[in-house]
Amino acid sequence: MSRLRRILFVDDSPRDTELVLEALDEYNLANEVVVLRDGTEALDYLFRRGEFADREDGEPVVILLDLKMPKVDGLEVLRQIKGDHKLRVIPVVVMTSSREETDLAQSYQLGANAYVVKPVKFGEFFEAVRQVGAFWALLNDPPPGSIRGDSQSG
Amino acid sequence: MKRVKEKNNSRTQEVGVDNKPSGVFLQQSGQSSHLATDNASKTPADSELASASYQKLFESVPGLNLILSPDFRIIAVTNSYLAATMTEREGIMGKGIFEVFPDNPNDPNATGVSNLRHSLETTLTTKKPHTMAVQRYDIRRPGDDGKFEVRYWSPINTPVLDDKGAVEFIIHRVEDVTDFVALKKVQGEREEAARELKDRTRQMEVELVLRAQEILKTNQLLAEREHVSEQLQSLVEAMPDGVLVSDEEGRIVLVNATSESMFGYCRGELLGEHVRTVLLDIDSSLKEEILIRDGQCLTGSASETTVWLFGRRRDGSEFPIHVAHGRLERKEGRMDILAIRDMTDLRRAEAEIHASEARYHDVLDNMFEAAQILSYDWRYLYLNDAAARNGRQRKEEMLGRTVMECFPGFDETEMYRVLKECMDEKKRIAQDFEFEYADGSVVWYAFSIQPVAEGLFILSLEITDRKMVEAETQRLNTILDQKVRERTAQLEAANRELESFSYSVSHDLRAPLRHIHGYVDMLERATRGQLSDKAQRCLSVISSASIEMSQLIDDLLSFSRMGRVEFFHNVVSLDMVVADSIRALESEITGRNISWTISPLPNVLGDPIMLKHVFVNLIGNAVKYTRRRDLAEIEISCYAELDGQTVISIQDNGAGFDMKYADKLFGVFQRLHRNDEFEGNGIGLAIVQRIVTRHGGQMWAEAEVDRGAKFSIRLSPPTGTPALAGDGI
Repeated sequence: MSRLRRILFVDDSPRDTELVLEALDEYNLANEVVVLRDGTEALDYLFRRGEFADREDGEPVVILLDLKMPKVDGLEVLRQIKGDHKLRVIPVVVMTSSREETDLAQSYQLGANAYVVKPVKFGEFFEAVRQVGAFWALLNDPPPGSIRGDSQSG
Repeated sequence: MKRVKEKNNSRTQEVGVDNKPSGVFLQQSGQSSHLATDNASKTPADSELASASYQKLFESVPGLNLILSPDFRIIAVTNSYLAATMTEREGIMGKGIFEVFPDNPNDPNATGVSNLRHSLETTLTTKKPHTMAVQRYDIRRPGDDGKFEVRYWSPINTPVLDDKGAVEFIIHRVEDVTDFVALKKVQGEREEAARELKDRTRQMEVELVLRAQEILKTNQLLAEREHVSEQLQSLVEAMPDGVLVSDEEGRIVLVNATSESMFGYCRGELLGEHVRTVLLDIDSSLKEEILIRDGQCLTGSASETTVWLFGRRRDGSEFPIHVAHGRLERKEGRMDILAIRDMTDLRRAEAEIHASEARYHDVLDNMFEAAQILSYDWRYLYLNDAAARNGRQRKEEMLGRTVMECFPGFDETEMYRVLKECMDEKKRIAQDFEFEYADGSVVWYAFSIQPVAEGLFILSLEITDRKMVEAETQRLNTILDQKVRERTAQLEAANRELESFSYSVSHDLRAPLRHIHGYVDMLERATRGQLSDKAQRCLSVISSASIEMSQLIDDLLSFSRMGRVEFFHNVVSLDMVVADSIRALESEITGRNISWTISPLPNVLGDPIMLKHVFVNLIGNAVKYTRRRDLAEIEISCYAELDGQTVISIQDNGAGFDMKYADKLFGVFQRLHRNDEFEGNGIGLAIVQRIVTRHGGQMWAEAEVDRGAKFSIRLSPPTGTPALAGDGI
C-alpha cells in the first residue's frame, strides 16, 4: 500500500468539502487531505503562521483552491503562493463554480497550473475531483520538499 | 573788274526762259562751215545777212550765252559772257565747258560742276529747257595767281533740235546774280539807313537759295512721289475708319469707302458738301477742341484732336461717332482731315455698363449688409445706409472722418488690430467681432474684410442674435455633456453591478444546485436497495431538476454576456465555422439519418467564437426538430445581395412552426414546442439573434407546421474598420 500524499483543500463551503472528501475517499486519498476554510487559513498554513506555526514539515503535493471565499479570496492566495520563491513550485488547481472568463484568465495569469469548473452533476464532480487528486497526488512528480512518502524510493 | 549787270535780277529763271533764243545759227570758228539754215525757208533778211554777221550778231546779244555742242564743248559765246567770266574768246572756244570752268579747289562743298553736268544731261535727255537753281560757281581769275572769285549764277539750258529732232546744240544762258547775293555786303556799308532792306534781303537770299535747292530735289524726286501718292490714296481708301477731308470752308474734298458706307452716301453726293451734312456740331466742337489743344500744346507737337459727336446718315438717323481731327496747313490753304469711327456699339456697351454700375451702387446702398470703404488713413470713403445705421451716426457725419473720430478708442480694439493687419498685408479676413458702443451696449458683427485699391472694403452683418443662440447652444451642450458624463458613469456603475450580479449568479446559485445534486447522489448510494420505487423516483426528479436549473443559469449568463462582452473582428471562414459546428453536434447527430446539402460559404467579418455559437445553435435546432423524420434533410446555403451583403440560410424538413407565433421565436424563454415534444429552454434563439444583431446583421425565420423551417441571417459588410478594407469577404 502506497504512502499517502498530503493534499491541501481550500474551500469555505462545508458541503463542497464533504463532497470532495467523499470523492477522494474512493481513492484512499482523503486521509492526507488538509482542509482549510478560507484564504487566511490557507496562507497561515503555507507560511506557518498563527495556529499553523508549528505544523509538521513538508509541503503539499497539490493545492486545490476555491476562488470565492470570505476575507482573502482564492486569487490573492494564488498570488502569494506564486510570489513566494519556495512555495511557487507547488501545483495549484483552481476549483471553482465560476465560469467567468475573467476568473479563468486571471488565474492562469497568476500562475495556476489547472482550472476546473465544479460540475453540478455529482457524478461529474466526483470524477473531476478524483482525476485531479489522482493526477496531482499520485502520478505527478512533486517538487523537492513535498510530502510524498515513496518518492525517495524512486 | 567789269561785270555785266542785268536790269531785272529778281526773276532770273523767267528772264532766262524769256530770252530763249530762237533761230540762231552759228558758224563755229576754226571748224568747217556748219550751216543749219534751210535756204528755201530763209527770210529776205536772212538771206541778206552773212553767216559772219550772224556770229557777230550773236556775240553782241546782251545776256550771258554759250552755245555748247552735245559733248559740252563751247562753240560760241557772247561778249557779255566773256566779260562776266573774265575769259577771252580765243581761250575757251572749242574747249569743254568743265575744262574752262572747274570747281573751286578751295571750296570742298563746291557743287557747280556736278549740278551743271546734271542739268546739261537732263536737257540732252528730255530735249526740253532745264532751269538750274541759283548756283555758286566760282570763277578763276585770269593770270597766274589761280585764285577763284565767288560767283552766283542762275543758269538755264535750252536744247536746239535738228530736223530729225536730235539735239544739235545747247544754249547755256546764265545770269550773274553775284551782286544780288552779295548785296548784303553793300547793305552792310549802309547799315544804319537800310537795316530793313538788309534783313529782307538776307531773308530773300536764304529763301531763294533754299527754295532753289528744294525745287531741284523736288524735280528729281517727282516721279517717285507720284507713285507714293497713288499708294497713299489706296491706303486712305482702305482705312477702316471713315475718312473725310475738308477745305478751309469746310467743304468735303475727299471721301473714302468707309465714309460712304457709314453715312449711306455716294462719294459724289458728299464731295463739295459741308462736313456739317454728316457730322453734327462739328464746327463748334472742333473749334473748342483746337482752342484747347493749341492753348495747351504751345510746342505745336499735338497733331490730332479727338471729339465725340453724332453723325447723321443719309436717311436722317443719327449715331454716336468718335472723330479724330488732323489739320494740314498749306500755302494753298488749310485742310482738315477727319477720321471717323462708328461708336454705336461701344456707346451702347458703355450705357449698359453705366446702368449696371448704377444698379450695383443701388444694391450696395440698399442692401441688408453694412458696406463701407475705409481709406488707408482710416477715413470713411463710402458707407451704405446699413453701415451708417450700425454706426448709429448720420452717414454725412461719418463720411470723410476717420473711424477713430467716429468711435473714440477704436484704435485700442481687436477690430482695429485686424483691420490694420488687412491694410498692411493686403489680406482678406472674415471674422466675428464684438463691438462695444459708447453707451456700453455690445453688438456682435460678422466682418468680411477685403483690400481694395482705396483701402479696405468691409461688409458686416449684425449677428448678436446668432451669437446669443450660439452661446446658449454652447451652454446647453456643456450641460448635456455633463449629463451624458453623469449618465455614462451611472451606466458604468450599473454595468459593474450587473457583472458583479452575474458573477454571484454564476458562482453562488450554482453551488446549492451542486449540493442538492451531490447529496441526492450520496443519499442514493447510502440507501441503495432500501428505497421504494416512488422514493427512488422522487430523488431522480430532484436530481434532474437541479440539472435543468443549472442549465438555465448557464444560458441566462450566456445571454447576458452576449450583450456585454467585446467582440473580436476577424475575417471568419463560414465554411470552417459550419464544419466546426457540425463536429460539435456529433453526439446529437450520431445514429441519425441526415442528408446534408452545404453550399460553399463566404468569409465574413466577425467574432469566430460567437459565430460558431450561432451556427451550433441553428444547426442544432435543425437536427433536433428533424428528429422524427426517417430522413432528415438539412440544407445550408447562401446568396449575395446587390449591396454586397450575404444571406445565409439553414433549412430543414422538420417539425416547423406556425408562422403566427413567429414573433415569439426570438424572445427569452419563449418556446413554440412543448418540452415533452422537443426539449429546450427558449434561450438559444434569443442569444443567436443578439449575436447577429451585434454583428450588424438581421435574422428572420420562415416555417410551416410539419413541413420544416428556414432560418436566415444577413450579415452586413463591416464599416468603420480600416483593417478590413483590403480583405476579401
